[in-house]
Amino acid sequence: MTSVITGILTVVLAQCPQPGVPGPKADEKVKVTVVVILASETGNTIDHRLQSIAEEVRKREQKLKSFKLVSMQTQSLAVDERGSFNLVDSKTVKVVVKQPADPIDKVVLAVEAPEQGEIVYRSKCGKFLPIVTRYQTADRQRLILALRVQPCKGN
Amino acid sequence: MDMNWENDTSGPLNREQQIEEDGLKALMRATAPVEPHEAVWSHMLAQVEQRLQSSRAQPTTSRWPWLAGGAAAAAVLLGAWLLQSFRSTPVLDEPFPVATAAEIEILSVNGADTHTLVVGNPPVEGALELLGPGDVTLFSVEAAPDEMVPEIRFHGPNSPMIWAHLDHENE
Repeated sequence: MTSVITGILTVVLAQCPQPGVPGPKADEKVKVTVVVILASETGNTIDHRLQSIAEEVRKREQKLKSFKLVSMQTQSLAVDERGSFNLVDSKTVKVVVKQPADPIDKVVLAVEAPEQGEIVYRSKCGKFLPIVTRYQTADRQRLILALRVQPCKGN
Repeated sequence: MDMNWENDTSGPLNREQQIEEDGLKALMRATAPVEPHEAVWSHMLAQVEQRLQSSRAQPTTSRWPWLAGGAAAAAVLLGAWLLQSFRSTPVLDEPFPVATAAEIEILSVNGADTHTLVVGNPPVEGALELLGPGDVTLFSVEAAPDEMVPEIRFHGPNSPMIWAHLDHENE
């Protein structure tokens, strides 16, 4: 019983702002960058900027041989502000900043990519997270997104 | 018919002068033109009156072409003067100000066009750098309407990645 009460109090106190630890500001904006990539099973051309992504994706699916950088976009979003980024074929990805950068430079995002449900995750800022969607264009090119958040307070 | 020259102070004519005068009178009568018919006089009078009336109804008809021509000439002269004024406007000696890279933020650009940017930095420069192991933490994931749940690859030695399966792909 005592342990249960202790556990409950621990959870409750963890939600309260702690003295000396600055909380996220409501008006603080996060710059979200989305890179749109199309990967295909034909050809052998990899954009030099996509070498790292191509390498990681091919670990999972070697059939994808060509990687093309279609576009890159950036938006500064406030907390709970919904940003919509244009992809290909009128598809969009919706991003919501749930929490701006904390003291360890991590941001909480909610992402809703084409043909999949919402994913909420906390990510370190300054680097990209690839999202391989299951959307394919008319010529069977696979849509891949890469998301990054900024700024990084540690830099 | 005898002609009575009231201002003639020469006195009465003698017989020879009278005969000569009578001859002249007869000659004038014989060579007198035929008087026009009264209908002809009436027609001429009607035409005269008609023309008089039309000229009174449009007294300025003849002036409009002159006014229009004068206005056109004035417009042409004004246009030529204005054109000359613009041409003679001195060209700015100072170069056009160009924004610096710090003043420009590129929000969106196609991947094939990044090399065309003269000023400003694209959202991503150089190779994309991926998150490393431990940089991402999953909070929640919702299934797609067809109940597809993507593969969340946040753990392990590889870079974090989210993978949504195609129908034929196996996990």
